[in-house]
Amino acid sequence: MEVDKGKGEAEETRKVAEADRDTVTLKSSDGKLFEVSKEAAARLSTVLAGMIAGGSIDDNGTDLKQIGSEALENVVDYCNKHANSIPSAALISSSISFNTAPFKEPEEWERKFVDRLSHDALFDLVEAANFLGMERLLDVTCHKISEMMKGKSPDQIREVFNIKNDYTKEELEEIRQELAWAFYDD
Amino acid sequence: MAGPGACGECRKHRSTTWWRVRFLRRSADDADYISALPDDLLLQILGRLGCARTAANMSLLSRRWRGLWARSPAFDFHRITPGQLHAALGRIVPPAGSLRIFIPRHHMLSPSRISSLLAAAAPLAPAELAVDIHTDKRFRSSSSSSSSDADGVELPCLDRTTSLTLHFSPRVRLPPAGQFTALESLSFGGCHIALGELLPRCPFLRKLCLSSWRFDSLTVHSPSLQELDVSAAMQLQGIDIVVPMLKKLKFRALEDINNASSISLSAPLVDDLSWLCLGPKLIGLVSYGSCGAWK
Repeated sequence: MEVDKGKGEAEETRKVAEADRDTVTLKSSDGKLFEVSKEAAARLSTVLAGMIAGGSIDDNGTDLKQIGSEALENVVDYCNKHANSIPSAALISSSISFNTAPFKEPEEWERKFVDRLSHDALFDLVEAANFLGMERLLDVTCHKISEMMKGKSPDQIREVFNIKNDYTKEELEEIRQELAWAFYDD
Repeated sequence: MAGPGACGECRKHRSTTWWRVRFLRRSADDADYISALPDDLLLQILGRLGCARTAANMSLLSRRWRGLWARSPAFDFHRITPGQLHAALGRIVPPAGSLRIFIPRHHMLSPSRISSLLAAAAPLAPAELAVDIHTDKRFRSSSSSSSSDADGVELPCLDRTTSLTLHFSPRVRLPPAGQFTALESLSFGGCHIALGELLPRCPFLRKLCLSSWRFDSLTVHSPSLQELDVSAAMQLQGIDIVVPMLKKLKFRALEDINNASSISLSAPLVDDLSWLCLGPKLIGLVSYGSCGAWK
């Protein structure tokens, strides 16, 4: 870690001490503190990696005002679980395989991790992952939400997600015509 | 509503999830969390549906969702008719991320129909393009066939595409000019292409996969290639491979390479090699995890 020579000695000492720690403390919008592995946080979140590299991590808890305690607890839980999991061969393999899906499939433990979440916790976690630049967690949560939509009619999807149909009959008819190509007819 | 937009793949999926619908937890306060997500997250979710028709049908949910599908990061068209596909491609907002097209076997397409589909896909500037189409037997290319270039499929210049996969059998004609400057990964299944002309126009190609290569010679010269995977379905009379940066080579031949064949292979940096020749008699199996410099 690069130490800014222009700053005072106390500051330098604090930064060096912080660089030696192997966890960072994060503070949720409602003031709760969470410890997370520094290595996992830097590896999984581009935003936290930037803060760690730039020395803007606060020993007394780095403020993440946009993230509530429940979502932050899930983020930290995910990072710590990730730090302890052994990546599957598919994830560590450096070779690009041909003809694969454009998105990575979640690991079994990642599926279980999002399966146990309540509906609103899942959506809070998607937004937290997006805010923190956590590509892998975003993959896993978006995958879960898309799984909840697959194979359902629009009415069923509206019911699951409380979506209000604000179309007029005429508008719906217009959209059906626009989407004529998308109907199954063979 | 009888599963609008569901294609065969989606229908299969529905049969397994149908009964889960009513047991899914709903949020306690009846809030619509999903529609409140920013556009870029909704697009990520639409892309992961794995079916462009299903994504398009989300337009029916509410005004918030109308037309979002056309900006999805991934479009998977499977079991779609050529006419439907043209209508859909016309609505996609470029540049497209991943565009994958699988047309079912009962829609046999002529080379000119395939050319016109590729011409419709090219302006969408997809980062990944994968096309799997079946062709009538009379258009299938082979080294002995008398099929002229006029029977070929015209490949447009895809200068933004990093990954290209083409699975169809007619001969592929290269665009008269232009380079495939972004191309890193190229995969051909069944189609015949003049690799000697194409590879110099792919300056950053790293991976090349040739599956069911049905021609009697194979020439691969590439200064940038790092991985080569070939499965040859015919007896090869000539092999000429010059790949100074290659690290991984996988070669399978279903027929013997006979003694009269001319084989020239230069791949000094290969450290992962698998070479397998099957045929009336098994003539050789070489598999090294790490063999250092190899010529």
